[in-house]
Amino acid sequence: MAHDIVMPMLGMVQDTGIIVSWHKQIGDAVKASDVLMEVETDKATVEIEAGFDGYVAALKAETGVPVPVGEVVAVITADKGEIETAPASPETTKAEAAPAEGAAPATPPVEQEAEKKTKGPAVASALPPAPQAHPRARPRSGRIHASPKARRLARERGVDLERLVRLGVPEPIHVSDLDKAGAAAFGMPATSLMRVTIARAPFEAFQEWVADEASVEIDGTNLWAAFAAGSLRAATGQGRDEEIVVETSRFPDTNGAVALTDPDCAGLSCLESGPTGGIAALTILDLTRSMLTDYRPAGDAALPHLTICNGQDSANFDLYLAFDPAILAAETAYAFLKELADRTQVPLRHLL
Amino acid sequence: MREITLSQAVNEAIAEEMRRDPTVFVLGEDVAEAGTPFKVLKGLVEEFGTERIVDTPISEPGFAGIAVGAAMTGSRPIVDLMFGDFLTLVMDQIANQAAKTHYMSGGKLRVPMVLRTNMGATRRSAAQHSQSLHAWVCHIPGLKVAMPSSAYEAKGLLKSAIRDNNPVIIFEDKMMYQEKAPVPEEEYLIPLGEAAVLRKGRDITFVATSSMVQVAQKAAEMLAGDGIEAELVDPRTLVPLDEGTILSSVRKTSRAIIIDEGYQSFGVTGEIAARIAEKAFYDLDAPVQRMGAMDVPIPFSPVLEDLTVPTPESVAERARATVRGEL
Repeated sequence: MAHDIVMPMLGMVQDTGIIVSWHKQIGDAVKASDVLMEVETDKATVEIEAGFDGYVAALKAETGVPVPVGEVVAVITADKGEIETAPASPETTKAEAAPAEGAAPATPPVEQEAEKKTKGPAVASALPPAPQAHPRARPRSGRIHASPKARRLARERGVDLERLVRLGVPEPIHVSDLDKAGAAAFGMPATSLMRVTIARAPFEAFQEWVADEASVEIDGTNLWAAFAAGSLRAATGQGRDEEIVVETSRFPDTNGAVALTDPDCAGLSCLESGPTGGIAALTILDLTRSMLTDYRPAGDAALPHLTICNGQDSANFDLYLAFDPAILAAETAYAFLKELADRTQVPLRHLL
Repeated sequence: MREITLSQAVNEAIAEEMRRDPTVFVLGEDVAEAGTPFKVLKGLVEEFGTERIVDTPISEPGFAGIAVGAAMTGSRPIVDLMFGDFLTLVMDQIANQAAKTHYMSGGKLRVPMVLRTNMGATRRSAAQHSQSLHAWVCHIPGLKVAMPSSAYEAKGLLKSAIRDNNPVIIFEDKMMYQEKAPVPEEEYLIPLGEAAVLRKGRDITFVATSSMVQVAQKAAEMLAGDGIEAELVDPRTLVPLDEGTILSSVRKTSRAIIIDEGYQSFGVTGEIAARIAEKAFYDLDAPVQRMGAMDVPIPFSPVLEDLTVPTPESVAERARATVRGEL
């Protein structure tokens, strides 16, 4: 079983953190309470504990470079055998193997027992066991640890606890964590919005051109999906071998959402019949067939969310991108919108 | 308001009820001229005579049985059991006779008796005279159990207990007999089954009984310096238990520590913690904490004895950890 270690959110307005140093190397055995890394934010440098017992299977971030909050920086596996990428160094292996070979520096169990008895019960051991002050980060077991009240309030307020954990809020989650995390705890209120206005003529001209050349009527929503997927791929630097799913819905429409898989890689003529399904990296709401000129997605909408409207000026489209800066950095969001605007203005870019 | 000791408050309660009701009488070891080892009953024999302040031989089962019989036949006896540890000796009379007679006689017989005894460590009285065994009798249906935490409560609860038609057992903290508290001159009763909120707070609820009320009070004062507001609920009687007051406090604060001088395992703290967990689970933001006496025979060594019971420091420390979400 492997556990991802993410860049923790150490401050409420922190987007990135810099790993100052790794205290463990690949192959090292770690205890949950061991310091795994030192992280620097704009306010402080903090030692971060591993949070899991096991072995360091991967260190995915370089030191000295800003890493977005929530990004996986290391992987810890329960089993040493699960370490695939970098095997432990020979010295480590030897050192660990030594006791097993019978060099036996350890006292045999019986003697240890006897030793304890002769010492007699120390006074201190007769004292009531002090309640153990847990470090706030507990080993993950799959289920999120939250107080009953925090869990109930999260449900009532529509707060996603999983999301809080991804943001680095230590478990168990208490009511104060919900309050502190504030907007970040919710699907939407942490959302940033970007808007861009683009001319509609090139987009529509391209649709007509394809219709003439290929005798295919391209559905406008699907064309947006193709452009958007390509733009997202360019902005995030994802290769064509990595799947990008775009979920589309339109208004007015009663057919519900359709998830298109890699619409940018499919031929324009077969967008409708391309593969579907998967977890959407982007949701698109196409309002161009309606009279609406503005529409903000509901609080529980999946992010990032792109809304395409007819512009206030009928010669334009207005594009709204709602995104969570903790998941999609503002620079990436901007790069995505810029690429999308460019593609829409010069659609041939898409084909190239 | 005048201040009197808990010992004087008990004495007053008994005297007032004996004047009011001729069926009330006291029996036990060294209750008459000696006025008990703690001098609680001092002076009563002068006013009421040895007919109503009855010295008995050293036989707890004997005088407890006499009291049960007297109660069944129209008297209101007040049994003085010198140490709470001696409950072992009267258990059959209390648990099998007093507690069950009303039920088994189909309501024809009543046992309106009071058994006064004590609890509490740190008096250097060693393992057989220092225990707090009130949880034992709380476990038996048919008995009421009162735990006064001050002179004021001791008087008001005892007067209600004497007038109650059921067997009532009152545990007085032997360390508190000489402690003074404001007690009104005029007559008052404290009903059995009504908790008191002795301090208001929003961050954590202390449910504390008897001797631990003062400990919790001091802990709350220490915490106030850290900006933590503790609310203190004193149940005053464990049977009947005023669950409503406890639950509404916990629903407000989301956190609770139960503090009681009985042994922690299988005791009062566990019972109250369980009720909170059952009935206020979705209002809890931290695990409910129990703080009772350490599960050991109470040591005779003063240094060790003091370590066996919760202190203001240990309660405050546990409260901080609870509020900080470290538990």
